[in-house]
Amino acid sequence: MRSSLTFRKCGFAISLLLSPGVGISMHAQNGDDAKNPPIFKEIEAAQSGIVWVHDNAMSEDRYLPETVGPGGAFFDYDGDGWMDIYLVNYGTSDFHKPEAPPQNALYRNNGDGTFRDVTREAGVGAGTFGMGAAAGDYDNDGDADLYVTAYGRAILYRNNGDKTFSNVTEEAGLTAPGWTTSAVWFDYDNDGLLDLFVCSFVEYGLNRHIFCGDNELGRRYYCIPRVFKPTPSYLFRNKGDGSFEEKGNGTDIGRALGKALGVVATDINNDMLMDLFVANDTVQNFLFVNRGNHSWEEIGLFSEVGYSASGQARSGMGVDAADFDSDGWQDLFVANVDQEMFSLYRNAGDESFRDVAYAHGITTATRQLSGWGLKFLDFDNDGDIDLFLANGHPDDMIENYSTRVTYKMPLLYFEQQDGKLQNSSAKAGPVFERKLPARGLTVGDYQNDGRVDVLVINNGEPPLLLSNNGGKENHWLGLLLEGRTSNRDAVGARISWSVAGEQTSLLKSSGGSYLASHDPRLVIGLGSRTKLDWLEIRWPPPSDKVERFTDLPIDRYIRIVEGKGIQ
Amino acid sequence: MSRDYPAALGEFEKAASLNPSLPALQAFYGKALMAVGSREEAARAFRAELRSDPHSYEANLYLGVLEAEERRHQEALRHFRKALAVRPESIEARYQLATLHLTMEDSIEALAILEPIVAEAPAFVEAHISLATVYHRLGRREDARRHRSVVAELNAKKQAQAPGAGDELGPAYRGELPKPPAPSQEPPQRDPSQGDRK
Repeated sequence: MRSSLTFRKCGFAISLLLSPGVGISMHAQNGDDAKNPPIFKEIEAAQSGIVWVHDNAMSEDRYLPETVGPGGAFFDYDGDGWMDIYLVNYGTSDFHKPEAPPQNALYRNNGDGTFRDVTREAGVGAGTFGMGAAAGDYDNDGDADLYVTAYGRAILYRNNGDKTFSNVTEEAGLTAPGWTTSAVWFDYDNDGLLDLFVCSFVEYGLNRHIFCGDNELGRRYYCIPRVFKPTPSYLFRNKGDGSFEEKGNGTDIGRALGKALGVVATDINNDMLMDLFVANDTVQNFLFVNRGNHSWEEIGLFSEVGYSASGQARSGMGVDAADFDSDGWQDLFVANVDQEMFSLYRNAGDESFRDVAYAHGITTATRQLSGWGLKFLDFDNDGDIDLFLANGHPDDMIENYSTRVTYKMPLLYFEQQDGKLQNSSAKAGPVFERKLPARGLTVGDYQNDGRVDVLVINNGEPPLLLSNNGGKENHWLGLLLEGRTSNRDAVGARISWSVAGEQTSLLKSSGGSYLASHDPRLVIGLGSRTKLDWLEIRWPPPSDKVERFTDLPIDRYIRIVEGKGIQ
Repeated sequence: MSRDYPAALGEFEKAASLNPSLPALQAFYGKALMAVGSREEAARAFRAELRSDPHSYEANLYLGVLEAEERRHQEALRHFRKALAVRPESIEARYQLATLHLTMEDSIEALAILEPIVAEAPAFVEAHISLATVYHRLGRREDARRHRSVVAELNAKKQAQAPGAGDELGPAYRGELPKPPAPSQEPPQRDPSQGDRK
């Protein structure tokens, strides 16, 4: 006993003594110098012009919505080919009535690495107690519309095509009352129109508030959502006339009472019907498999993504999907709260999954972390999928209770090498030494250099814009796909290509991460190769077109329009 | 039960300073360490307990859990079997062994353990979840669906017992191992600690 205690105390002392040295060593390892630039470099607000700060409305009563947001989006609102940024703030709610409600912000990309606040002229300030955003061209008119989720009142902003938006929530039938979190645009019924899935969290309101407190400290803290009642999420079918109808009711989506925080639309069984993986907090995760004809089957338990290996529901928050092992099947990821570990689910190809997080070092790296925004992506354009994770504990008082878990947490970057995801955070940049109250995470190539950048959206703090400098030596091809018969955003498209005789493919999923929406373009990493043999697009239904292209350029973006080729 | 493990850690440390060889002290200390996420220290405490008492049920069970988490399956098996040698009736130890077999893709072994567990503790929701998983893996779809329905019923009952508006809930910790319900085989009563922090 005594030796154990002595060890702990000594260990603490040693870590204090070593910490400055460790910091110096990491800094050098991070290579923050001109010769060896870090993979991700923080872009200061003074440089980017993004001066918006999230107001987390933290009160002594610790109302739960205060700690759950915010999110945002990379999207090209004005169609100029440069990714703009939308950031969601906490405005008015039943428990929060500021005199001047904080506004959401739309930042226009000036094309030179700087942004300009165009919120007022675009008319997207909202003023609601916002949560996240999902961008998509639901009316197939060629510009990106925006759905903003919230505690209290969600908003659909239709893009007018003249750099302004109109709030069309009511006429579209997308009011989605309650507390909505992540949302995703996708075409579930293959009619060529984007439908909308909206995560609903818990039953909540001033008249339903439950107080969680610590009498010893004399303070309240954020309740674990276990104490609140679950709710069904929404599935809105696009009717094609600017309005939507709720179609989840009467299906497994309507029957599944959850506490949904994260969602990704993907195709887990390669049947050309988009499925939904939904992360729930304190209840099982849902995997809604699209069986066609408006029929959904929830298979979370049987597919083994619903619960932990020991049969426990965890605190699912961020999710994503990608074929990380290039076997042709979409794999899944879910981030949970500390001690629960995150899961990397490998698709077995039979509508079941196995958690392989441990084999990739993810379990060990995330044991003390609570994860929100996250994204699978080939960040260094070497041809395989990497992983970026944004973390932060929901309880600002956690450090009063835990010696290991902190309120603010570091980012993590896993780079895939030889088929394994390796924790490469230590060499990814000095920013990985910082701790953040991260929530949303969106990815977009705001510099159009083929290296997809990252925006981490923090609770109660400014967002963190990270410029991606990874894989500068690698080649790439960027694709903007435009459907004509299929949905305009080409969600569900399958892209295959061959480089030096080696074939690869990817599915254009939608959503993923947490409260976030991403650059709709796809970047294909070519590594050191300088030529694609061919590239094939299988457009999503109702289109039956499969188009093959050769003699493609590299190191630039191209726009491919269904049936019309490269534009 | 307050489950205030950080406070418990301090008490264990005080107890150890008074009598380091107190029976079972290291096992309980390890359990408290495990609850606050100090897994390496917890494993050391369990091993210390096993050096003085190789037959400690708690030390074997929880060290087995830690070994299983680290994918040291054979070590975990060894500890679970030792725990079961001391308390062969322990549903908790049997359940941990079953989930280990599930992780090791040994569905037949898992099934042989889980079926009696749900018969003895029909309100043990995690056991139904694991059993449904096993049945599904074995292609016994009807059985799998039946147990999934039981899971839904048990979860609905639990949710119905959730606290109401205006309730004041005290602090507690999460991260407990799945626990079988009390011998009455009734679903667990609402734990006032359901309002614990995230």
